[in-house]
Amino acid sequence: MELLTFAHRAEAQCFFDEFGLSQDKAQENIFLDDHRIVAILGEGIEASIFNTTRVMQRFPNIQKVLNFGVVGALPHPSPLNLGQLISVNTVYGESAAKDFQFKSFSSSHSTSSIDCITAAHRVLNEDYASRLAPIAPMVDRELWGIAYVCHQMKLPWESFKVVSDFAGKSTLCFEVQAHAPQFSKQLFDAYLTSKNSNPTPNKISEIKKPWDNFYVTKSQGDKLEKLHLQFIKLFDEKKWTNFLEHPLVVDISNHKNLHPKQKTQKFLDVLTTYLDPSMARLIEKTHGLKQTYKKSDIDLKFDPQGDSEQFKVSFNVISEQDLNRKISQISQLPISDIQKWYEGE
Amino acid sequence: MAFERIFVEKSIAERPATLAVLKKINALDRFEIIEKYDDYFGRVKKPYLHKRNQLNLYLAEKKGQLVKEAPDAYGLAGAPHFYFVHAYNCIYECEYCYLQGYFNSPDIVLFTNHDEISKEIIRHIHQYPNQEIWFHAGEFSDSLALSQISGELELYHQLFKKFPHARLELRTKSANTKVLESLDPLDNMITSFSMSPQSSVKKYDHKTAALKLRLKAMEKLSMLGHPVAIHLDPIIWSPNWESDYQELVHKITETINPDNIRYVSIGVVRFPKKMFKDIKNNYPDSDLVHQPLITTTNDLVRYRKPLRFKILNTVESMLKTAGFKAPQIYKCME
Ligand code: SF4
Repeated sequence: MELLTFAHRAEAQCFFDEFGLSQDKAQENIFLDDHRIVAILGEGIEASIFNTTRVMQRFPNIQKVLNFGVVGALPHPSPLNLGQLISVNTVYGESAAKDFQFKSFSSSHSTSSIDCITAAHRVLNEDYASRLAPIAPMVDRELWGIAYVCHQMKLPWESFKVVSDFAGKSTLCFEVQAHAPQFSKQLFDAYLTSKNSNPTPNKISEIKKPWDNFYVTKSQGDKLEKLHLQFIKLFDEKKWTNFLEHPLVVDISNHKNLHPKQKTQKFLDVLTTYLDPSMARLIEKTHGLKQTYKKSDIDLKFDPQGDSEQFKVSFNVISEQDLNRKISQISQLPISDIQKWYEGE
Repeated sequence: MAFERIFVEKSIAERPATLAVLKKINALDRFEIIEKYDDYFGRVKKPYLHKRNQLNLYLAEKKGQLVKEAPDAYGLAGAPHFYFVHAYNCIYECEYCYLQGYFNSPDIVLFTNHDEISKEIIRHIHQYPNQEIWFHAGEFSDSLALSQISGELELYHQLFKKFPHARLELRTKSANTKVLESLDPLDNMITSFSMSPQSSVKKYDHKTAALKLRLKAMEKLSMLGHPVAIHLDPIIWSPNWESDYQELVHKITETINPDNIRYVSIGVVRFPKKMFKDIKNNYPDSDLVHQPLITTTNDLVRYRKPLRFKILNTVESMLKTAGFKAPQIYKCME
């Protein structure tokens, strides 16, 4: 479901004319049909934050938010034209104390490089307009609040604005009202165009993933997807096919004594190793040493990240003789070799 | 270089250095006066990628600490290292650049109070009267990319001429050596070129000079007698990294005799965790995001030790085989 937001009803008039919207029973500023919700949020950052949040709480299935409205052009070396339609790139905000909000928000779909600042007050004099102008070339009264709520809710947003006047002392509220039907029509056309041009995501090619046959926990699954993507990015799909035919991988798939979850873990280990070639040598060497010491009931634990040469030695003691034997074996650990392994040799 | 908007601080608007910059970019009639650059710069979070088509320029006065101590392992060991700030941000766009999370704005700030910066450099030089002392100019920007506009090189050239025991390093990924070519070579004014294999330049160093051009620029400066140096940093792993670096070292020594290169630094790619987050946001599809990197307990994102050492040691031995001597080579941040 899409949420279409406007500050004033006049801006939305064309949408009311074209769609059979009916008023929501619970909130009188909301209108809807089967495909969309239209909300009239009112003017000002507080109103837009408050009312956008209310709509979202009432309709938790909203997936995207669109904002439509008019803006005033600010003094700028490359001025905007009256009547120009703009898809907003990034919105900045002003706080009630006339300071700037640090946070800015960028649209997920903008096709332009024009930004907007949402003012805390109506911009009715030149000083105010000049103070805002270095931040963005146009000013509105609601977008920052809407984008702020979208950011909190992790929802994408898009905004279309028509330049209605020049902000400052020449702000012409009556003129803007007189042109409202024309602006609303422009905004409606922008909406239709955006609906037709939003690309459907490309279908991801069907790449063979052997873990489809393994038992995969959620965290293993996330890790596998991440490493797989990393693999395709660094190498290519052909190399992936070769990798799947690598004897180590084939072994895992064919292994009869491995539990499905262990197969996944083994596959993850091989994949991680393959992506960092220095790890392959390290794992091979530390694994060999571990096995040797295991035979004497001494457990060696190496850094699982493969980043530090520090390792842990643990063992049980059953007699003095046993202790002396184990100490003697530990004293023969090839420390300088281990250090070299961690230095990539 | 087309700036979308140009802002000039009121207090320096009439200064010759400011007017000279405005003249060079044909902006004497299209700049806007503001009280202080930081009333706007960094005050709101301006997306980093706005540098592509909404890049503003601020001409301002640098206040506060004008010369700062450089981090450890910044340059050749054994001497004090400092950097001075003549600019914030860069016109280039390297995907690994740490500036992308640093200032909350990609806009360029050029500080035009070079006299004060110079005085501060001299004050530091006097603290080390008989000792080699290093100054770096590229901590927050590329030292040469805008040098024909920013106009400070001549000034620093005059300054360092007077203090032969003090060294100035200009670090660049550009081939913009015009201003330097017009100056007498100074033994203590070293231009260092950051170099990567062309495949890496193409993939990660957007808008910078191609490898071929950097090599040419280095050759030209060297032939004119200017001391040059090289940074092989950051080295980014790829399936072909060894052959790529072998070829790069070959190209370097084909262009210039290793004896004529003051030093070569080697470093592998590494980031603070927060910066890596910025990279992922700005370049979600970059190969950089898919490198075999790990996050350490002290919030560094880097290769595992065996890979880091393997790369550093391999490149070091390539350099030695190609004729570089051990004292010329230093490894960064290890
Ligand atoms: S040249 Fe240096 S300062 Fe400029 S973008 Fe690249 S890494 Fe950053």
